[in-house]
Parts: sequence; structure tokens; C-alpha cells
Amino acid sequence: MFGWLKIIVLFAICVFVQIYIVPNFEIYRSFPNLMLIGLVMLCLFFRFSYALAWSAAGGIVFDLYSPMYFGVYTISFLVIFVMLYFVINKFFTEPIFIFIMLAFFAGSLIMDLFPFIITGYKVYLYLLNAGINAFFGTIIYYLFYGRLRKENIYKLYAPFR
Amino acid sequence: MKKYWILIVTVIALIFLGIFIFNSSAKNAIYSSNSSLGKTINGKFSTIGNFFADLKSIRNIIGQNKDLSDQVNQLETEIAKYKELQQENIALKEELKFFNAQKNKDLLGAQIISKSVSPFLEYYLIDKGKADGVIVNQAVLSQGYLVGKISQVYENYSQIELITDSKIILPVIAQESRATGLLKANLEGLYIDNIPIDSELREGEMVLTSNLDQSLPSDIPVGKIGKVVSYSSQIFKTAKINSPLNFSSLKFVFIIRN
Repeated sequence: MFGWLKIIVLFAICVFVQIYIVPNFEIYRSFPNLMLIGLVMLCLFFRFSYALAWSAAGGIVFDLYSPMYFGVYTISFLVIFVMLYFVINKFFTEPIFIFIMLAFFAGSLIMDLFPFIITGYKVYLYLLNAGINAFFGTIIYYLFYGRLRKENIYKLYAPFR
Repeated sequence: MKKYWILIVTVIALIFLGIFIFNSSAKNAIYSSNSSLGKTINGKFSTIGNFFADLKSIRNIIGQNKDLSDQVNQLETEIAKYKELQQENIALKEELKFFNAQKNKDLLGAQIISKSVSPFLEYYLIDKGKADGVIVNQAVLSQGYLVGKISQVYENYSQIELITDSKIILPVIAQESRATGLLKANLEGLYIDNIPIDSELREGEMVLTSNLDQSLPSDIPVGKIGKVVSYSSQIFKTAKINSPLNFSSLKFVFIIRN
């Protein structure tokens, strides 16, 4: 119960910061996405319930504040969750540094795919935004690594041993 | 197996939410619940964000400062001339009753509550909606210049689609040369496309909205012509537009209601 309370408070803080504060600090029209970073973190630390709830709620919040059709971000977040959680669970033990960066990078690409297509912006903005999410996400991951890591069930995928 | 079922149930629940529950009334209620705190925080952090953006351009600012000082001296001379013209204008307006025609612009002030959640979309949420007489496609100004137009309206809130959004295509006209073109936006900023090759566009010329777009009033300033790009092999010119507005640090706007 206490775990859910912490997740809800953290979610509320992330929503507030993402909607009202982060857009004021854009870096060449890109800024990090705290909802995405939180979701990827929860997937990387094998928290199924929290990650599912975060993806659903985060998608709804983004859809509420987005001018696009309802469901665009909700579907994107759920796709990210399904891909990351089940891929990690099936193939990896403790994720390595490159995989962590790739997880944030890929998550950002999926989330921004539809807006990128309809706005027709150049690819480098799309990739820059993903890079910024990967950079900040990796830093936050290692900041919380010691606190959140528990005994995970290790499965070694033979070809990568 | 249990996890798959939980996932499936969640997806179905979200589809149900999206179709039956989340409509404009629900959005309006959600915006109302956090708009006052959001306005305060957004206003404060847009100033801080602007400070960091300004630090990056400090070298340009020093050069611009010198140019602006020269311009101020020149403008002070022109102001003296305009004051004389203004006196004459007031007299003419009173005679022709032209002054009353200007009061037809019904302006409604609004505050920006939040900005776009995605860097690809240029939309702002403001604190005025249907209840204040706002309707879709009304023009939005700041400091007399065009900011965008209303794209979605809720009971007490509205969304503005900025002219810096890549999907915007707006007919505009240059004030002196009367060259027409289409206002568009990309990562570098605003520009006019499809300008006839034989038009005599000049740098610094004011650009206004054209009466070709029925959705927006005409003669609203958009910006000034920057660099004009023209190639002999092409039939159209392109020109960069410099808007005096800093779109990322806007806090207050005005909606033209009529």
C-alpha cells in the first residue's frame, strides 16, 4: 500500500512538472519527458503493476493536454510498456548501460512517432528529442539504481553470455 | 498468464474511457482543477526559462544594443513628426466619425495556463472559453502581433494553435510592396513561401494577414521581412519573417472576438 502511495505522489509531481515547468526549458525545441522516463524506469526495475498503471495514467494525462485525438499517447505508452517489460523480462538479466540508453531512446521514438508524422518536422528533431530523453533518463536511472534495485530473478540468455 | 489478463482488461478499460467518458466537459473540469496553480507556476518558470535562453545569446545582445541605441535616436526624431500627424488625424477622425469604427475591435485578455506537452506541437492552453464568448478560429494577438488562432474551445478554456506550428499555412501580404505569399513555419522560425518572383519585397517591410483567409481578420501584423531568398531558376521567392514576439515566454494574449 505504501508503495502505491509513493508511486501516486511521484506520478502527480511528474505530471505537474512536465505540464507546467519543463516546456519552459526547451533545448532547441526539445525537452525531456518525465512520464516516459518514469515508465521506462519502472519497466527496467520489473515493477509490472506500477509500470502498467503509470503507462495508462500517463497516456491519459498526455491525451488530455494534447490537441491530438484522444488515445494517441495512451496507445503509445502502452506499446512502450508492452515492448519494454516483456522484452526485458524475456531476454535480459540486469540491463547493461547501452541497453538502458536504448530503452529510453526507443521509448521516445515510439511516443513521438505520430506527432512527428503529422507535423512533418525534420528527422534530426525527432532523433534529438529521443537523445535528450535517453540522456536524462540514463542519469535518473543511475541516481535511483541503488534504492530501487532488489533481488531480481536472473535469466541468462545463452548467446549473450 | 495473470499479467496478460490484467493488461487486456486495462486496454479495454482505457478504450471505454476514451470513447464514453473523456469528452470536452471532462477536459474542462480537469483543467479547472489545476489551472490557478498552473498559471502561477507557468508564469514564474517561463521567466526563468527566458533567463537561461537569454544567457546563450548575450553576445548577440551586445551587438543588438548598439544598433538599437542608434535606432532609438532616429525614432525620437520620427516621433516628433508623428505627434504632429496624430493631432491632425484626431481632428479628421472626429469630423469623419472614423474614431467609432476602431471601437469595433472587441479584445478579450487571456492568460496562458500551460504549453504543449510535445515539442512537435505548438499549442497553448488559455483560461478563456465558450463562457467568455470565445469561438474556434478567432485570432490571438500579443503586443499587437499575431500569435495564432483558437483551435479548440471548452467551457472555460481554449487551445491556441500558434503560427509557429508546422501545420499552419496563412495567406499574408507585405504592407508596402503588396506582395502576397503563404506564411509557414519550420525549425528556423517563420517564413513566407510562394511569393511571386517579380515582387519587390524589401527587408524590414511589415507583413500583415491577408483578406484571402476568411477565418482571420485582415491587416493584423505578423512580423517584418528578414532575408529574402530568390533563385533565377524558380518562379517563387521565399522570405524569412522576424516576429518581435518571444513565443516561448508569452504569458498574456488577447483574443479578437469579432
